Amino acid sequence: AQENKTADKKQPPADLKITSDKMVAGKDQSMVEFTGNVKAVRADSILLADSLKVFFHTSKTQKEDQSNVKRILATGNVEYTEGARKAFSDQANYDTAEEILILTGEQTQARLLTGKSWISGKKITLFKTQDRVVVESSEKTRVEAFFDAEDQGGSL
Amino acid sequence: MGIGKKKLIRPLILLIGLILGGGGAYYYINYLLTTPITLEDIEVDDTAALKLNVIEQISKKNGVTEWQLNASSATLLKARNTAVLKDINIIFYTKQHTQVHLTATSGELDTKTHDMTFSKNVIIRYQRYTLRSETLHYAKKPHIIYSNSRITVNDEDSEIEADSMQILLNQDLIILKGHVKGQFSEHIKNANLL
Repeated sequence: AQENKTADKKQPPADLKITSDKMVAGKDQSMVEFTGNVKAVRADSILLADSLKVFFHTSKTQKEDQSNVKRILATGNVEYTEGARKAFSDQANYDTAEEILILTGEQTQARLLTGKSWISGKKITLFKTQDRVVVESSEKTRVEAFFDAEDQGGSL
Repeated sequence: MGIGKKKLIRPLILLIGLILGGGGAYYYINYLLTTPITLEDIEVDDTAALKLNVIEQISKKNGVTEWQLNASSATLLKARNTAVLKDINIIFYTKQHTQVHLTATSGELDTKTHDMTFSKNVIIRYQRYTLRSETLHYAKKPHIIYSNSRITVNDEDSEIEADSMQILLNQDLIILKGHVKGQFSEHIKNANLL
């Protein structure tokens, strides 16, 4: 299924705030891992998870005007909230340059909710700049969706 | 004896007296300076301490320098195998030849194990990062730095706080635990933590 809004809305850079029980950082890996009750807040998005890895650009990989946070990978009981939108999955992978959030379900389906409407599938891809959502099924499970008549505009 | 002679005798006696007095003083002072001083009834304190000002120490392992220490003063407490240091400035050398630079108001060095404890305004500088805490320990055998009091690590655009910390110098790994709070600015170059 595909939900399409063509307007390209590039988000302004925003600080990334993270709280957790523990953090481990290694040299030369340009990555920091937060574990235990992790909460990450960036602009109006909130990500909760068991573990969160923040990948940074190095001086070689970072382009002009590009965020120095390259990618965020959340795993375990992932809950993503952005405005009225809420999503649940086993893993969430966010690319800051493309502004694409990919939610994948391992044990359970990834699920995206807005109001009373929801959609679920093996993999949910949110194209934030285009406000577009793509939901994919797997061999075993199909995409399911429920649009509540009362929800505004019936979009997710 | 004529009056002339009487007048002369008094100043003469005075002069002779002065010469004798001066000579005596000279010989007495000379005696003081040359004979060895002997001190009687000294009390020896069994926690006898030796106080050194401006101390520098280098610790090596298999010929490789592990750390180099400077302090404004060091009081060596014999009974506790401890050196109490003031105004400390240490450079630790990691396996990858990067330097970890530490300063603190006071600290203690175990002269046997070379373990160290630092307190008050402890600051560590490592590459672009600065770490601040109130207490910090260095354990020589595992070659780690650790703190059990609230620490803050920051560079020019990121900041992380936690209740405790360990830097594993051999693996170049930093582990923070307890109420970890991180803030990363998005748009300034080179924000990677290590």
